[in-house]
Amino acid sequence: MSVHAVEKVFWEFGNKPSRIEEFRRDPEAYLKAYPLSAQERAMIRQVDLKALAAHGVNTLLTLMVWPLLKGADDMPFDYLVHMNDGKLPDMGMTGFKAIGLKGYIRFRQIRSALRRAFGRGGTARVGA
Amino acid sequence: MASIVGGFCVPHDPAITAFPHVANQRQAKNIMAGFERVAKRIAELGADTAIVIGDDHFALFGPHCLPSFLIGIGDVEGPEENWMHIDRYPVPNNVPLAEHIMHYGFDHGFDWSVAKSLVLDHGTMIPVHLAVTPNPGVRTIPIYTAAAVTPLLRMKRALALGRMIGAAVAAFPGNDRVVVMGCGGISHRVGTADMGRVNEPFDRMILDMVVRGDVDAMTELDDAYVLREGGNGAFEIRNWIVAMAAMPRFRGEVICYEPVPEWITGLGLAELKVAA
Repeated sequence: MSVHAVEKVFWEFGNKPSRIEEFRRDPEAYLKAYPLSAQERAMIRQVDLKALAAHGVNTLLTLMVWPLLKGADDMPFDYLVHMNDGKLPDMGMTGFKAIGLKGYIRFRQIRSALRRAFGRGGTARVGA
Repeated sequence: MASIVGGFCVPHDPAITAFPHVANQRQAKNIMAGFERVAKRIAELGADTAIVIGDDHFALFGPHCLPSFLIGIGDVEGPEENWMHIDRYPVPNNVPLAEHIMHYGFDHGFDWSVAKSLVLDHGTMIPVHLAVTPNPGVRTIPIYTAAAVTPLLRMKRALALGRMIGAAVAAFPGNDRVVVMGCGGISHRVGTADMGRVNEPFDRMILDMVVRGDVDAMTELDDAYVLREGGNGAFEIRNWIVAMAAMPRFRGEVICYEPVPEWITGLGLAELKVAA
């Protein structure tokens, strides 16, 4: 039971994404192969970014795994929203740059919705 | 004897090729022009080999094995990632010099991890693709340091590693003309809640150290300070330290700098010119 085991789970997702399907089918059964506490299993099932970061899980790994579990269409903005209690930070941008960012996010949201509507992929199902 | 004829400090942000249209286009063009400048300087210097120092981001190495520093001595290709709009291709290596640097390190207290075949991730492949590949005939010796995934290579060890690489090249009985390229940084925060926040004053301070050739001052920076001011991505200045330390004497010149929050990074390029 350690942060290392959590990192192993995530690294293996990134290294072999086909494992994610196995995880989705039965998360509890999948995670039994790893020495994880109940708290750690819950963090992984929920992809609880803040809890994982507080636990010491390397954020390179959570950033890598998030789009695999949640879909890449809204990256990195949806990741940042989850990291910041539901709000998108300004990412250091002001004025026209911030307006441009909002426009870009809107564009990606519309594109994502169209892709889903026309069955061309879109946001992946959540893992648990 | 072989010689180091020049050096560079460059970013390796994968967004440069993966998301070129997200950034402010003036800034994006400036960064691309900076890499074109590096490629042109490699040609002007008559270099035939680039020692490219970068770091892995859990793409190559995992919790089961995290090398402190690694050299690729054989077959090289890249990139590992399939989302950077770069098709994977073979990257020619300078095998005799790579093996020499490996052995020289073994004989001088540096127990390299060694890759006989290596697929480069963006940590080295972005600079290779943008600055080395445009020069046909220039071969790449890839070196990876632990500069992103903890436990990190100590800054002082990065300095010593660079000094050893410089001595190894100077001791190689060939006419190879070598450039060293430190890749990564400057300020960026990867996967953290403040991802996207760039610290331009911190970046300017780092570039100023490059211009002054003050590798010792960069080495003395405390990791906690670097993390606070530059973010976890700024740990990659280790790769700049390795490149700077490999140069016997140099003066730095900034090629360009752009703080690009859309690419979540302060991107700086500098040339390390051999000083008489």
